[in-house]
Amino acid sequence: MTRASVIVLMVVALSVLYTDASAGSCCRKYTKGIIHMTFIKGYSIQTITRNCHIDAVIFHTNRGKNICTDPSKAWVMGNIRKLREKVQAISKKHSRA
Amino acid sequence: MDTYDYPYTEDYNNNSTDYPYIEEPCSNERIVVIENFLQLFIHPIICCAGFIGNTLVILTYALYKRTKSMTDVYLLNVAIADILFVVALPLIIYSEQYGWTMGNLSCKLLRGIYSVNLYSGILLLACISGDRYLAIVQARRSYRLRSSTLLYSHLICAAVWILALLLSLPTFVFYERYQPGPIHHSHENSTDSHSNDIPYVCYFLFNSNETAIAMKTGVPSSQVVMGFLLPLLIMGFCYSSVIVTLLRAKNFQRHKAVRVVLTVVFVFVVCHMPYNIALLYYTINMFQTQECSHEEAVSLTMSITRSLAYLHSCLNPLLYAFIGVNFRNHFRKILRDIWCLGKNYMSARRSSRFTTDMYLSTRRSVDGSTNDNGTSFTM
Repeated sequence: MTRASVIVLMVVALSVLYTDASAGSCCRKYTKGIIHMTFIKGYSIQTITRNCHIDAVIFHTNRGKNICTDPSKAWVMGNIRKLREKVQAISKKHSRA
Repeated sequence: MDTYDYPYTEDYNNNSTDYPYIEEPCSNERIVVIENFLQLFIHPIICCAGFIGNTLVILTYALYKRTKSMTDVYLLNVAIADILFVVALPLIIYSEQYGWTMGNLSCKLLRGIYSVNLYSGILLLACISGDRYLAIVQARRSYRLRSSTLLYSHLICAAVWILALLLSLPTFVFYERYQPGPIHHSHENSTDSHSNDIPYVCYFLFNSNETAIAMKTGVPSSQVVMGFLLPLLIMGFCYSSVIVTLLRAKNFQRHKAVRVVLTVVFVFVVCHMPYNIALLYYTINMFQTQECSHEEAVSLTMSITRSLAYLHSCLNPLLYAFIGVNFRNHFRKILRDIWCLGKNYMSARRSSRFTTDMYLSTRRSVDGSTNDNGTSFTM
């Protein structure tokens, strides 16, 4: 009885204090393949100057996946350039309208 | 809408519903659960035990025992370091659970104080071993030296605290409160909403990659070297010499003394070695790419072994102070007085509170005047 209540208390305490830490989690490895631009809707940059220990570019796909890629690869930086151009084009279109 | 084809071959599977070959940021859910368990159920026990034990040591010194020998001074300083440590720990736990709501200064101060006390506590234990070495192995030479050593021991303690402060400077400087994770550059309908509910952390934050690499390797390395290896070497040398000398001496108490020395070293190694090995391994592999499972295993090992290292701060009073016969006698005096005080208080409550205060002050002055020649050095 007491043991059960202790376990219940522990589970409650842990679940109350459980925070979604995945948002602050880091890439530890790079994806081998190449990610096609059509899948990507945005990107994030992970640097070793903060809480993570390898540099990485994280592409966010339309299906809500976060893909870790190697920033030293040419295609990764190419994708970023294209994404930036896309954003600029959109903002230009908005300013014209 | 234009299509943005990229002129590379793609092995990113277009047709499947799932992406089989991609690497995603590692989930740290399991580590967070384990960390929460340790922080809520294990660390409070360590904090309470450490607080009680070290308070008793400080009280015994403050009320009943004049700090006479070098070891007394060191033991008092160890108790102060340990008590600051166990007071900082719950505040760190609270802050980690609630996203460091007390602000950036509390982040720097708590992490810094924690680091200072970690270093000073362990370095002072090395000083104690040095003092015992002088007393037992270099007994004849140190006899004259030890009679005027109270000043020296104060100086050495001050040096240890300053060294601990210097070693902790990077923590004070580079720890910041911020929202962890990558910096988001969203595209199209910018959905930055999720960045608002990431809890704040208190961790390293740098301006350049060079300082990041230097500090992320330098700080744990200095912790392993100055906070473990150097003290271990000093203790190893001093205590092995002490044991050799004790075994040569013809004293019926020598076996007890040897046992005490071995226990002190054994407990130090058991508490600090696992965490320092894990920390060293973690630091060496820090900047390498690795599997999430590997990262998780290392982090988990670090969390669990860290708790073991914390445990040492509540074992110190038992290993160093209460193991001494003199110290135990003084402590018994305290218990007796508290008992008397309690009884007196119960009867005095009906009449007036004044008598209790009187009783306490007279009691203290009587004990302060009693002169005892014993040192706490008995093992």
